[in-house]
Amino acid sequence: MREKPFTILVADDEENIRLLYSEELEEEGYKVIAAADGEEALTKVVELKPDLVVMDIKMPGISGVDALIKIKEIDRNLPVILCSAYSDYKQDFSTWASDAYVVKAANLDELKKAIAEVLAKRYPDS
Amino acid sequence: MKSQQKNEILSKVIEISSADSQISDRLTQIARFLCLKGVAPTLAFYLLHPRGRRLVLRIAADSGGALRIPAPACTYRLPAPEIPLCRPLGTLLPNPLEPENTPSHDQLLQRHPHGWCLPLADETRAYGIMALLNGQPFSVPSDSIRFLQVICRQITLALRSSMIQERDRLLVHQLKFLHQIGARLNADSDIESIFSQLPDSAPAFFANSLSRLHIFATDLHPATIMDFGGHDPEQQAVADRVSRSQSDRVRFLSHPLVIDRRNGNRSDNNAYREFFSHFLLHIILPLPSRNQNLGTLEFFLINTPESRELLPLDGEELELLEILAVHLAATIERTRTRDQLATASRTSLLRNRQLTLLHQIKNALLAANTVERIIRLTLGALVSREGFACPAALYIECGDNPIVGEVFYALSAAAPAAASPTENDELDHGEELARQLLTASEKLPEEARKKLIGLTLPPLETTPPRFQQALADGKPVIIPARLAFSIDSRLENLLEGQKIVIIPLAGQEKASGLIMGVADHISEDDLNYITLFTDAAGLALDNIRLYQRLQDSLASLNNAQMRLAQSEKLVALGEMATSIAHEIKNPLVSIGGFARRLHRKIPDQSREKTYSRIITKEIERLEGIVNNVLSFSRPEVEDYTPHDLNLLIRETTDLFTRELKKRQIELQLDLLPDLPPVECDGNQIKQVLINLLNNSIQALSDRKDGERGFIRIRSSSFSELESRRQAALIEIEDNGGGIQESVIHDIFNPFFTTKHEGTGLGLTICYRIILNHQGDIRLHNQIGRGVTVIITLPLKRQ
Repeated sequence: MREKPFTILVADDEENIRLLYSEELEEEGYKVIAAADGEEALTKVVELKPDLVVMDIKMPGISGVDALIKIKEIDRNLPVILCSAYSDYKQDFSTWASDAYVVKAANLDELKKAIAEVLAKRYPDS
Repeated sequence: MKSQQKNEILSKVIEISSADSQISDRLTQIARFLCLKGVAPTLAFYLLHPRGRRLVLRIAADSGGALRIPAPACTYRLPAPEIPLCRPLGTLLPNPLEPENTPSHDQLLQRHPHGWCLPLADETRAYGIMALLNGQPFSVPSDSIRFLQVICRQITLALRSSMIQERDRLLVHQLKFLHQIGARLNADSDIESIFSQLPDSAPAFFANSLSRLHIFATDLHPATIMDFGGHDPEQQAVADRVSRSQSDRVRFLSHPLVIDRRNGNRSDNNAYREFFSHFLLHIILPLPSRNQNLGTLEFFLINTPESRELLPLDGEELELLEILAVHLAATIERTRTRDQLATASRTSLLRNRQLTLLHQIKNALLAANTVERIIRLTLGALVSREGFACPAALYIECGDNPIVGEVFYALSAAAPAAASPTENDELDHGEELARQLLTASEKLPEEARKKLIGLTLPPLETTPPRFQQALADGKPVIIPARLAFSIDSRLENLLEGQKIVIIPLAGQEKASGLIMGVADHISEDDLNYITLFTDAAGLALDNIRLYQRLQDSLASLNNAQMRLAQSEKLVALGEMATSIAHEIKNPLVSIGGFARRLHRKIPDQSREKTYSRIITKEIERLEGIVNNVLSFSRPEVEDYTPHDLNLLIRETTDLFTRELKKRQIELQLDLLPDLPPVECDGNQIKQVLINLLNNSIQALSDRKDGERGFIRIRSSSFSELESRRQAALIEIEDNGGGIQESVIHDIFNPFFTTKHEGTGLGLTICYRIILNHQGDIRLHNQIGRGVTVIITLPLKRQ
């Protein structure tokens, strides 16, 4: 068991979504930091070095997909989970770089499950 | 003799000779008077026969008045025309009354061999001799001779006027005869009766003759021979033989032919050998008409003393016969013309009726809207009595491989006689006619048809040439029945006749079938009419084909238009839906997310818990809708690779295994083993299949009748007719009761649903995906039974 909780960066342009994700994920025992767009997300990845990024695809400025590519350039081992309103964006090969793909839904069970799986895969020792 | 006495005698002779009595009476009176006055002891008149150069003792008298004219009357043939009738006066018994010429039967001259002859002649002709006769020689004083010459001149005058009168009478008689014959001929009485009952005015010639009328055969009329007169079979046989012997000779005869003893015996024709023992003459007259000879009129003058008197015939008598022949020829010609006219008018009446019928049938044919109706109308017209009165006719449909398809059969007995049309109800009559024609024909009863099944038209080149000709030209022909039956002997049972008319039923295109009808009563002329009317049938067939093609193109045009409108609608809707759904999605996630958080924090068994559950559930429903909209409208990123459709089907159906088992639905897979790979987006096709299977399961679950539901999925491949491209076919069939007719047009529309749950986007998505694959999706809906969805996918995208 890890002493320090995993830090998850949630990037979404919707404030309410950020709040929802933050509360839900903190309840799950994660430390949550939030970013309102792709730009901010990239900065916080560099500064705060989160263990995992949950990112909306459709954001003003740098889109989720573009941000994903940039994050992988910074730290190709940092897991990124993409969220989208669309159910099957995964057919776009540019999303293949993400570690998981989750359709946005009010029920966050799927997201939580994906986070757990990705983390377990990335940090098998913890 | 004193001059006073002479004057007395002369004036008496003038008186008697100009009296109004018969010339023979007058001559007798003169003869008696002259004997009484002592001019001669015996006095005789030898008169020239009107028909020729012979002298006949006509009148004799003596002073006693007891002299009888010896019978038979004596005739003197005159030796030659150049010898004068009388020698100069004073010569004893001038020629021909020479003693050596005296025939033994001239008893008068035998008893009174001495005498004097005085000619009865004027400037134009001689009429006879006045003979003064005596038993002993006697002399006549010269002044008496001059006186006798004056008397002779007076008698000559009487003879002459009598002759002229007689000729006039004959002429009038002949004219009367001709007139009567002409009137009878004109009065429509037949030729036979004219000869069997001669008018009273008929010249004696007719009463003494056999006659024969021979009318030559023509293309239209047979030869006619009519014999008249005579009751002696032997005579008739002889006449017949002679007539036949001349029959070749007279065909081109243009003038009368008179065969008498001289030229008949001269001819090397043996037929005349016996002839002249029975007859005196054979006269053959042509019947001239418009530069041709219609036949002959022949007379056989029977050999009797009376008829010998009629010889020789003079020119006028022959002319009379010629005129009679011309009359007869004209009558025959007129009769023939009248018959021809009557025939022509009958034919034209018939044709007129046929044309009227043709017109009506044509109208009925052109109004016909099915091929069957045309065929049955055509058959009906063939067998109907108003039409062509074929006893039986049948139609054989020629399939692609020349195997008999539908067979229609019509019997004339079944055709009711159509009422004759009146002007008022011509329209009604047309409809009535069509109705009646239709009743005449019927589909061949199943049993009879079975007998014909397998009846094949042999390859064209092995059929009789005229049969081939008919099919090649598309024109009707009449062929002997045995030729038609050589195609298939079973036809014999249906068409009993000697001749068969073959009518190919074709328009611009190749014959769709053949009509065969019994043609025993159909002439080549009728065939032209049949052609006219089968042409109309062909035209009607063309019209129907054209109409059907028009309907088809109209339907496909409508279809294409509907699809275009559908896809335009979808694109517009998609654009709008994307923006709306995306905007809704995020707030919905927030609402839903926090609602769930609230829900978790609310104590169980409280009202608030119930409310929050409802909020959560409803938001889930909303999310479902939004997700569907987004997946439908999202610009696709497609991944076309070759896929095994069968595998996609199996993978999809595997997902439903539990569902199907739970609902007791039987799944039948009928997949083509070697289905070629299809270039497609596997996931999208799977989604289509999932949506369709969902629909079917839904439909089957709605069934209340307890019948076991099934879903059958078939795969196959084919080559598309028009584009020739290869395509795969997936059919998904269920027995879920089908889709209501009223909603069938809406089912591809977005948000349309008949279900209690669902977004109404399932079929719309399917439609879009298949369209993107350049394929096609169709529904075959059977209300009350089920739906089959048919998906076509090209093997290769273009």
